[in-house]
Order: sequence, then structure tokens, then C-alpha cells
Amino acid sequence: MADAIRTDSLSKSFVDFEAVIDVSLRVETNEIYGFLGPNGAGKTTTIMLLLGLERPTRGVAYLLDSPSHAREFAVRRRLGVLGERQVFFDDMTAREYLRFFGRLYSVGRIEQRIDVLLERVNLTHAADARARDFSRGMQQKLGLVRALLHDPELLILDEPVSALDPRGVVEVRELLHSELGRGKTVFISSHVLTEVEQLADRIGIMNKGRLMVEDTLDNIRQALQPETRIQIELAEPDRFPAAALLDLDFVSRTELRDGRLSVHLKGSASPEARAGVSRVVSQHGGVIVDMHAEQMTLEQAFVTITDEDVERLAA
Amino acid sequence: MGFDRRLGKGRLLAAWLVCHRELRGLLFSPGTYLVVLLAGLAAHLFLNTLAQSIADSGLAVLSGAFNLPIYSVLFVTGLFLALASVTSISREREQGTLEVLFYGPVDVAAYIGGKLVSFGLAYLGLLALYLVCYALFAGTTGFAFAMPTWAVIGLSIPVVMHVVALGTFVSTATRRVRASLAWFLLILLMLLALQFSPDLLELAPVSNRFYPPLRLARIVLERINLAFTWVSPFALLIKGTEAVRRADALLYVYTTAISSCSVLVLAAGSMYLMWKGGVRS
Repeated sequence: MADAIRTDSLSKSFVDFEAVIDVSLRVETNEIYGFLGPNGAGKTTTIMLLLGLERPTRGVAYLLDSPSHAREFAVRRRLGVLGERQVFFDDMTAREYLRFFGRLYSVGRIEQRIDVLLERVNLTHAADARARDFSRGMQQKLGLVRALLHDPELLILDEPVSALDPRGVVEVRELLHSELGRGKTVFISSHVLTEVEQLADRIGIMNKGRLMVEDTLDNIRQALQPETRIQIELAEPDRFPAAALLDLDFVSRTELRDGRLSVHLKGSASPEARAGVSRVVSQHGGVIVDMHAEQMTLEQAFVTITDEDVERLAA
Repeated sequence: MGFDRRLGKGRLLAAWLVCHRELRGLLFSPGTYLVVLLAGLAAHLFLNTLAQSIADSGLAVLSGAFNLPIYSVLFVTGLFLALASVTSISREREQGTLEVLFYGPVDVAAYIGGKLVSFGLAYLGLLALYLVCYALFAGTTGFAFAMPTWAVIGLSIPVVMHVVALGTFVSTATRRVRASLAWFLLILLMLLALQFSPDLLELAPVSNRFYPPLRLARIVLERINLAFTWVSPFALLIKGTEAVRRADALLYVYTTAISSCSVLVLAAGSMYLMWKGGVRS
């Protein structure tokens, strides 16, 4: 599958510091890619380099196979971008603002498209109010509508849910999933780690200008946490031969404590691994009352990657 | 490599939308109406004085009744548009709206081109408004537009665009509105000083014991002024009005052509600065 975004040794130096250092990332078509990193990691500068709004010191960035330094209007029309900060033209209502961008992107049936998108983010009631007077959450939704207005192939979103209430987050999540279902590619830079965890297929983590890791969340978990644990509550724990689980290749050890069975896995608690454990327990007459995997959350992975295990991951 | 028609079309659309938005902004700006009011008051003052003097003496004291009113109106309008152009781009950069525009199919050529065209159209629109008012006034009083008045009106278009392009250049080169205004005013003052300081130094008495240094300063300033004659919009305006007064068609065409070329050079410089410096504050 072709890459929607590709960078080769992308670097950007300012007078007194290097903001982005040799970043080579890859975002496949039709995936949601989470782009993470602490403040000052170089995420926004990387996005500016991708968009061609900053010129790289070294390297090159391709969006939809178009290099950032010579991007044609036709390619720009295929991008939808939501910036970190929402800004609006002083004298325009939400509808006028969207109409302006609709004309800029040559959107057909523009009024209809505006109505549909405003409805989807629950902003229809504010369509004729001045956009600069909106709350931050409403402005963020309006910015997202602008980014989606021309039905772009690739969405680049910088902190798309940072100002939203829980209901707004759900609306945006559903919207992005539906875009993914329509074959679109989504690149999300965010600090809301739980949101990225729910949305992203793959994740890239920046720290101090470098891309530390780029992989699926499961693989990142596995790299940082070689063992995971499944906690099982059994109906009659004392009668179950826990050692039977050691026959499974991916089980390293088991423990029975306070009526709860802990199964340590080599690697992640994938659905296959959990199904295998469940099957063995049933075969030996065990009745599972409750079962859950203790996995590293993205938040834990994020902290681990940026503060502790940088060397290991880089290796 | 041939001309890319699709790119050209996209750029024209983007430029037109930038222009349209700027014109809309000017239409909703109180400054525009204040300028029209000031221009009207200035014109009223001059025309009223003239009408009064004719009523008192039975003689017209000016060769062209509309010369002074038109000059004052053009000056006020040109200054307003210059100040609007100075703050226009740096404000957009400061607010972040410039960055949002450049996410999409807009490039520096479309953006700067759109901005300049909008100020040009605004000037022509206001000029048309003034001319309609003067035509009504001329119809009721019997005053006529003299040929030199038309020539000055024609000259004012490239000169005002020259000042606007200078404002746009300064606005592109700076990142904050206050810095843009400060730099623009500094440049205007410098150009004015270069324009008039040799004449002021001429007034110094010959008996002054500092005469030799003053003469040296005057010569230096005259030389600098000579170099700026073909760059400064003030110098071009003075040269152009002199051409009108002397009915020197060649000098008139030469002046308007130089002014028009300056607009193109400053526009290209603005595009280069924006391309080089980016769109973020």
C-alpha cells in the first residue's frame, strides 16, 4: 500500500537549537497514525515541515507522494489540516467562514456540505453566529469541519480534541472512524493519550526532536513490557491445576494467590493468547468468573518511552 | 516546461478570494468611512472657500477648481490604504489566519497578488465615489474638471499603489503589527527627510561659520536624494505633478512607468520575503 506520508531524514535547525533531527516516519494510506511527544518534542515543527510551511534544513517530506518544497495546488486540495490554535476571520460567521474555504477548495454543493458537517458535530444552531465568539470547544469543532469540508484524502490534525468535552470527544471520534471507513488517512498529533490509544492504528513518539519509536501500540507495549499478566477469577480455584497452563508456549509462569490465578505471558495479551488460556482452563474443568489482561496503557508507555527506556527502544 | 494552466487557474481563484476578503474587511472597517468623511470635509473646505471667493470678488482664483480638493482627497485616501496595507499581513501572521490560509491551495504569489489588487480596487472604488460626488457638485455649480486634474488623478493610481506595495513589503518583512507600523513610519520619515532636507539646508545663512560642513551635508543629501528619486513615491509624485504643470508628457509617462515598476519590484520582494520567512509569527 502506498504511503500517505513519508519523511526521509527530515531535520530543522533554528539559530540556537535543533527542533527536528533526522526524522524518518511513514504513515500508510487508510490508517490512523498517532503522533505523540511531550511539549517541545518537535511535533508541531514536524507538522509544519510536512505541510511545507517551514523549510527543512535537511531531508525531505512527502505527502501523497508530493515533496513539501514543490507541492502543487492539486495536492493541497487533497489535504485537510486542523492547526493547534483555532483562528477565524474577525467579521465572519461560522457559515461564512466555511463558505470562504469551500470556495477556496472549489467544493461543489457547498451549502449542503456545510449543513451536513455542522450537523455531525452538533453546531447547526451556531451556524450564523460569529465564529470568533464561539467557546474553545466549538471553535475546535468548527476548525475540524473546515478541515473536512473538501472531503480530503489525508487529514492532519494537531490536538483535535484538546478543548472538547466528553460528548464532543465522542462526536469527533465517531467522525474520524467514519472517515477511516471511507478510505481516508488520519494523522493525529495529541497529548490526550487515551484518545490516541482508542483511535490510532500505529503510533510515533517524538522526544527532543527525534522520532524515538514508530510502531503499533501492541508492539510498543511488547518492547517496553516483555511480559504481560492475565488475572483470572475462577469459581473453584483450588481444584484447578494451574501448571496445565505451562503447556502453552506463550505462558512463562502461573501463580495462584488469594483465589486469583495470575498467568504471566511472554509478550502481549493478544486475543489469541487470551483464547488459548481460556480454552485450557475450560478443558481442565475450570469455570472463569472474571478475566482481564493487565496491559501497559499508552500513558504508561509514553512516560516510559520518553523518560526511561529511550536507549532500549532506540536500540 | 510550459505554463501550468491548472496552477494558474487555482492561483487566480485563491488571489481573487484573498482580494475579496480584504475588500470585505475594508468595507466593514470604520476607517474607510472615516477617510471618506475626512476627504469630504477637506473637499468641502476648499470648494466652499473657492465659491465664497467667487461670490465676494466675482473672480475664480484658481485655474482648476477641483485641483486642491482632489489632491487632499487622494492624499488622505492613499495614506489610509498605505496604513491598511502595512498592518494587513503582519496582523494576519500575528493572529494565525495566514497559516490557516496556507494549509490549503494558496501560495505567496496568490496571497500577495490578491492583497495588492484589493487595495488597488479599493482605491479605484473610492476614487469613483469621489468623482461621482465632484461630478454632482460640478453639475450644480458649473465648475469644470481641468485636464491637469485628470492627469493628477491618473498619476495618483501608480503612486498610491507604490506606497501600498511599500507598506505590503514592510508588513511582510515584520512579524508584529507594531513593528510594521514603526518601520513604515520610519521609512516614510526618512524618505521625507531626504526629499526636503537639502532645501531646508539651503535656507542656512551663508555667513554662518558652519557653512562649509552644511554645504557638504547638503551635497551629500542631494546625491542620496538623487539616488532615491526613482525609488521614493514622494519624489515620483513631485516629479509627476511637475510633469503635469509643465505639460511634459514624456516625464509624466516615465514617472508613472517607474512607479508601476516599483510596485512590481516591491511585490516580488514581498513574495520572496514570505517564501523565505514562512507564514508563522
